[in-house]
Amino acid sequence: MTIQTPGSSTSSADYSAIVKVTPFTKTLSTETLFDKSHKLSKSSPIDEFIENANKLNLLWINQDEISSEFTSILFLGYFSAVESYVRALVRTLIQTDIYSQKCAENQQITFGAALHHNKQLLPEALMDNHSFTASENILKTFKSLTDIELVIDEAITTELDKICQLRHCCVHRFGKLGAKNAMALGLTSHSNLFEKPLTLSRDDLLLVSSTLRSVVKTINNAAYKAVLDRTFPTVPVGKGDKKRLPKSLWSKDYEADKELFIKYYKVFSSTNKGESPKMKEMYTRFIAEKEQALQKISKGAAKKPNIPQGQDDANGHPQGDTSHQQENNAVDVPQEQVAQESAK
Amino acid sequence: METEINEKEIDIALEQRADYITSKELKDGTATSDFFDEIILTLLKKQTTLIVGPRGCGKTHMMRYASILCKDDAKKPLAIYVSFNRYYRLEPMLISRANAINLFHTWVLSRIIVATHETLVEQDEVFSEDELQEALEYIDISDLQNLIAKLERSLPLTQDELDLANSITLHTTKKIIDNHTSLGSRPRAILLLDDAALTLTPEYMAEFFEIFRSIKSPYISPKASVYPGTTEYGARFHPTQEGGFEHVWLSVSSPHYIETMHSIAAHRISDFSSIPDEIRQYLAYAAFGIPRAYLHMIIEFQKKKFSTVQQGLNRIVQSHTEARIEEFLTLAIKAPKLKTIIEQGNALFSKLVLLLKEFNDKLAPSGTKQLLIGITGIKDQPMVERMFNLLIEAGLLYPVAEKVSHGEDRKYDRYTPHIAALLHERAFSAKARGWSARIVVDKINQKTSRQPLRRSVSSLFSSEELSSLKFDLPACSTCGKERITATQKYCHHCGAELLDSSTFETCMSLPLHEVPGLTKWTVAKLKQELPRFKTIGDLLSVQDPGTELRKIHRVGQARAEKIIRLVTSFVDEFLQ
Repeated sequence: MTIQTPGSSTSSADYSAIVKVTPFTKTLSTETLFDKSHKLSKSSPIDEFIENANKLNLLWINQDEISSEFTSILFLGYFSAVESYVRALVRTLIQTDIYSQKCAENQQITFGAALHHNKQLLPEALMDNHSFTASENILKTFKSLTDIELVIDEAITTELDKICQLRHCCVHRFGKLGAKNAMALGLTSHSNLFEKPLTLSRDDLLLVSSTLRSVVKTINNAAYKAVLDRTFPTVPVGKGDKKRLPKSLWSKDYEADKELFIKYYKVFSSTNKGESPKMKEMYTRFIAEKEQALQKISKGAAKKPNIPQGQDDANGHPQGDTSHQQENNAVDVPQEQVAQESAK
Repeated sequence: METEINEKEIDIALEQRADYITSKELKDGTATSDFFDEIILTLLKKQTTLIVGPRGCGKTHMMRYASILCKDDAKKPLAIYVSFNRYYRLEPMLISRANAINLFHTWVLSRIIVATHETLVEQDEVFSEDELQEALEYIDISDLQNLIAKLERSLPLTQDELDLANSITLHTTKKIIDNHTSLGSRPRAILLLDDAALTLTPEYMAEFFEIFRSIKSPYISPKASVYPGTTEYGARFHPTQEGGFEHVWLSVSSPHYIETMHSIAAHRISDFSSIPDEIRQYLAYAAFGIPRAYLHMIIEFQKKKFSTVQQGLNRIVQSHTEARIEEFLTLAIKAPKLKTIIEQGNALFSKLVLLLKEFNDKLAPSGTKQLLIGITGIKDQPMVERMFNLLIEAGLLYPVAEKVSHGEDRKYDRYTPHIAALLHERAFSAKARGWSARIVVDKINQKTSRQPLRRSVSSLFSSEELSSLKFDLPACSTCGKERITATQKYCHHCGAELLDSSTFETCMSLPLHEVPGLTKWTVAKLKQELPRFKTIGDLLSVQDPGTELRKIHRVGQARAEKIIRLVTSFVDEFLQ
């Protein structure tokens, strides 16, 4: 005796088919999804970020009402622009700044990346395993790949970290507040919001996008300062008689330093009107401040006369010697390398 | 000789500011009058107070005088005088730092701590290093001074400095004030916070008054000096609830006006009594309740660079009127968004002066005068209200405190326009045969007419003028499209952030040679020997402006310092 299937002959035996599923009629060809003709942007990382964020702005700023789902998606877009900025900046720094390059030399990348990336993009591979989902990660990335310590006020990292928690909710929980996120944001004020959805209003999105923009610009300026500071040491190193001030990369003459300075300026400045002061202005500010710091050292050195100062060496590098500024050569040469070459 | 050095002029330009005279000069040169005594008394009292008056009316003088009175009297409170006139140096951070408001907060508290410490140290009593350290909660005062200096130069902070900045809290500051009060054996402290009218940086102003509100305690009474015409002090500070206003701007209609002005000048000007009474009165009225202006005009008169008294007075009054209007117009440089309102405000001021002149001409036969004009409908038009407030802040209109209800409950706000402008317009010399200072003064001293002069906003402005009032916001710097609203953050056309420019940087780009008070000799020498210094910023941004100035033949250390002080005081004044 055969078991009769219930119902009509048209019904399926698939007892898993609790919902309907549309079959794949076409599969994704991921290789066609990326724009092969796209050329690596010549813009600075900050300009690229601004451009991306501005494009996102145009998607909603002229609309009076936007749904909270759309604001969440836009929010993720802004965050993605931030992550992309960090990657671009670290990559550009490794290409441009010899100190950063030195630091990155010891880092490992996958064989696949080494084989297929072009030279310009290779530093990207260093960040394959880095995520920028908390301010700490970002600061650590700069430290480990470029050896700079960003000095950023806690008030700013705190705001970024709040946004990072919101991002986590959007990416992983369709905006609902998870327990870990609630703990990070402060249980006192968030304990009654578990599993409640994020509903960003138009004004909230305005605040989030503007906060992220300010955070990125803060990182940009802090990194610019840290990178430049390293090229012009004002604190003596060593002990006792060997204590000395490392030489700087700068001759303090704009015409002589222009070629080198422009490299740094281009990495961090924006070409948007009214955004960045002119290169010469920034050079003057930088050198004036460093000279003032050196004067302080001189006053200290007068009291302890055993600190020789690199900058005061009239015959030494870099004064009168611009060879260190040649293309592909030497911006680029950190102190120990300069020292080694002179020894040869 | 046109290009003589004329050092004295620089000295005079500097010494009329209370911030540049020594404590002894200030103490000896202070006049006493019921009006000022009352203000000093309020400053010493245990209550929150805002002292209100335009530039030059004596706010700094009275605050400094109050602090000097307390210095030598242990029964009086510890009077901590702090000037915030350098606040504008932090303004560039508003467009370059995400944490600008926090840094401003730190700067205000740090300045208060340093001033508290200095006030105690300046007392005759000697305290041990340990006692002082403990009172400071072990904060290193030189680190704090260094932090202040760095913030005033908008320099980025190191991690250590950021840590220090974050450790300076309101709680710590209050504790430090309390520690110093008790170490100095004082019953309580008063905080004399001068130059707190941060009208051009509303973000800082709100933060400042948040501190002002929160710092008060049964043992700490804050007082701040502000400009008239300011109605908003940030979201959480409501002056009428927190304390009171004390108006320092002496009204020309006050029965003691001439007496008070004379007593101030008599203390500060040699040979004051030898100046004829009608001249003293004429110039006192022209000074419009501003002692600094009065001193300046008397000194000008004493130079006797005129052929007749009438010509001399006319010139002094004219140049004073022009300078006040010029000062009002520079507001449009400091706050470009106010350009239209300022220009219309200037036209309005001329109109009000003319209306009063015509009214007084008509009153001439009756033997009365009128200095007031009542205007209705100001509060209904926010842009018009802003315009009046700006004229008040600039000291061009004196607001009469009480409101007058008339007829069908119509509300009139009453104002007196600057008397110098009225004098310049010959408002008090109608139909007089010949001219004399005495006739003018007698006319001003006449009784006030019972007949009021009244206008409404709609009669003062055409509807086109009213609808043209707007904030002048710059177009998007990226795509050039005009903004749609004043609060817009991003450009509606290209999505770019709408960035503001820094007023501080605008000030730094002003021509150096036009700084008021620089003598012709100095300007000529600057042009000739230091041609690269074209703007104020060119001079002040070099590492050591003094060394540069000393390159000029016959400019030594003292003269160089004076020039720098003059330029910096102009910057401070410009940015107030």
